[in-house]
Amino acid sequence: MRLEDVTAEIRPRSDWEAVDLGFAMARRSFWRCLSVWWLALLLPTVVGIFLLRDHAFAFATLFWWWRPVASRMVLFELSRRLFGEAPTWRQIWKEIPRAWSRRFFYRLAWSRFSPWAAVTMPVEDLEGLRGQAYQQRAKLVMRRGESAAFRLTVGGSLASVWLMFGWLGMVNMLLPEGQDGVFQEAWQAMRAGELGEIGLAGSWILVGCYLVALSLTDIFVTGGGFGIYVNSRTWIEGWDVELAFKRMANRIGMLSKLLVASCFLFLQLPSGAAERPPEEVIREVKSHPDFEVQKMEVPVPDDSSSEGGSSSSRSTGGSPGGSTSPSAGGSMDWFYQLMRGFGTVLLVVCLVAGLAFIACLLWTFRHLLRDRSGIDGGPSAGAKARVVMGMEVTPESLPEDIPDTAWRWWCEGRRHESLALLYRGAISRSIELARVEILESDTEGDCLKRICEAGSRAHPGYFKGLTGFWLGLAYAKDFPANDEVQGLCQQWPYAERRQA
Amino acid sequence: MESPLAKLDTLQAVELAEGVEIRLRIAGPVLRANAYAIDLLIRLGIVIVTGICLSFAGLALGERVADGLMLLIWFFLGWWYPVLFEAGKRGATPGKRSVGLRVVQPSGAPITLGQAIIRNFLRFIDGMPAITYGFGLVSCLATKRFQRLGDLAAGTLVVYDRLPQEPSVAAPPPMSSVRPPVALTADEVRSLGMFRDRAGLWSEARRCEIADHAAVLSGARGKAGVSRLMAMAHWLQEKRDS
Repeated sequence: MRLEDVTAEIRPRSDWEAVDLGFAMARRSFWRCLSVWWLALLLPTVVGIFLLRDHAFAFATLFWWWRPVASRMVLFELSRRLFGEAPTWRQIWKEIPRAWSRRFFYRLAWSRFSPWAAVTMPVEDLEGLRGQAYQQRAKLVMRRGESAAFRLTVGGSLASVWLMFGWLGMVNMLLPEGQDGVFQEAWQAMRAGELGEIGLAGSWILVGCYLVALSLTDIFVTGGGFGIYVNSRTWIEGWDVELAFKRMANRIGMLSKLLVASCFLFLQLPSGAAERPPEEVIREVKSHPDFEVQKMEVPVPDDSSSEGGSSSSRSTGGSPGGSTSPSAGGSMDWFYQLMRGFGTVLLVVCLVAGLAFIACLLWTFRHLLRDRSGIDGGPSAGAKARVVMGMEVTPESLPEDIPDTAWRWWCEGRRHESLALLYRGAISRSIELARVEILESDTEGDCLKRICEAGSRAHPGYFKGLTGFWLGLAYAKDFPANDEVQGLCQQWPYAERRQA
Repeated sequence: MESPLAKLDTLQAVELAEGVEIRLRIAGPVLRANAYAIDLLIRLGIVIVTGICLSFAGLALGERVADGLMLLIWFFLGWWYPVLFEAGKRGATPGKRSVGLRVVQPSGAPITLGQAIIRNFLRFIDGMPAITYGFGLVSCLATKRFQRLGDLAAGTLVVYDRLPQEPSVAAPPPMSSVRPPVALTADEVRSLGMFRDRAGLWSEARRCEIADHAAVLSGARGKAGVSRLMAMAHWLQEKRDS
């Protein structure tokens, strides 16, 4: 085992991440694991089916019992693969008898029901420990991920039965109509609770489904257990630190070699002049996988703002009220009336709670509804822009009569301020009166575009002219003529408070 | 096939705009099944409680109305319960939250309502054959990022949301701090930190063994190497803290 050759990322993980890594390992060499699994049990299966052809369930029990042998072979495969070896078929063939005979009674009798088998098996098989040493080591390894191992094994057993029904359902689904007589019989027998009554064909289908399901789950359970084992050893033996130190030693070693080499090169510089054309060197460097452009497409959803509040507060109707006992004295009619009244109250409470819940939902997801409605004149409930291009555009920040003030300023010689007032006033009025949606990040061009899109109510013609003058002033220090400014002030199209 | 250089891992790397890479830890099927079972129990509880309430309300309304309401609740819990929770702020149903999972986009962003709808309405397909979740399980185990069919269609991932508690049993603090003789990369600095933090978990012999691999750096072997590395880790941390 050379840690440097490891083919999975070694890092300390949480228990379930370790199981996931095991699953990923099993997935990576899934077909190989599946063939190895069945190869390990091939001979006994064939013989068993032949001998027990009339006793399908007995065979299934037998098969279930010797399953650890197949797990062992999967473990053999996975562990070799983890450290970069690819076992040949010959090696696997040679390993099978060993998998059967190695500590046969311990693995297949004493610890057959151990729920931690998936983790203790690597201790036994890969480290070759026996007796006291094995017990201690298993205990140490299990310190991490014991509960995960337990849940994995139990979950695996449940999943194999569960998947068996899945297979059955699938086979049933794919059968042509009228051909599922066997299934109907088996189903009826199962409902009657008599497994023994299932016909032979039915039982073999059942057993077959179970075997397939068992092989599928067992590969992943073994993988998951191996993942826990590797993670446990990573923690208690610092595999990741060892790897990192080895990399560091390599780098520093290279560094010192490079230093020596460069000194050497420096001494010999005149003779060792460029042997290769630079293009070739560049091409070689660029052919390294690091220079490959890697792309990944991530779809960007329309509405990235998910600022909804906490999901919801749900109430499921008032008091539980299931404790009143109907055996009280008095006439049943009276009781009935009482319950009727109670029921009505309960219903009202339920309805109110339901309505409140729906209202709450609507409120939580209001941003989605707003996005649908678009900008069709409705009052926009979102936050209005307060500052556009560094200019404050709230109505409070502006004088009451914009064109008058602007013209006064222009005459006083505060020409830049005057035009700025006109421009930001126009934006502010567009937001306030024409309901144009302008964002704080918008530029002059964006503002103009939005106002043009908003149609005539936003006076795009006037705004376009104003923008032209403003851009000239702001970027070219190009002051417009007096009469042009006067025209702008007089043609001010937005309704002012003085006119209202 | 994967290139031989890429090592197997269960992470989703996301490069942020700043050029920083973060890694999401993708969750596998076992814990997700666990979360599903918890959700199932919660929904069952709700159905039982509302069922009792409605059976009383049914006396006033007539049984058929109560049955209708019950069916509505049943529908709502079956189809919309996960959608609403996963589209919400936490991106997880109560079951997922309780085991520390969360549904996200591959970019790490929270999923949208549309994605939550696709992901959960396809549960029906994932649940096939019958209600065994066979398709979902197979798809989950067959894809690199543990995605069931609904995840594939909606482009979502289920990731671990909680950081695991990492036991770190630090060795006794070193008496001196030593500057490393060469400049170290970020990875190497981190590995020295890990060596210091986790050395308490290892046996004395194992500590020396690991430290020997870095003998080029420490310039010593055995126990002397260990204490020298500890001193360097100490120096690096002092520098970081100051």
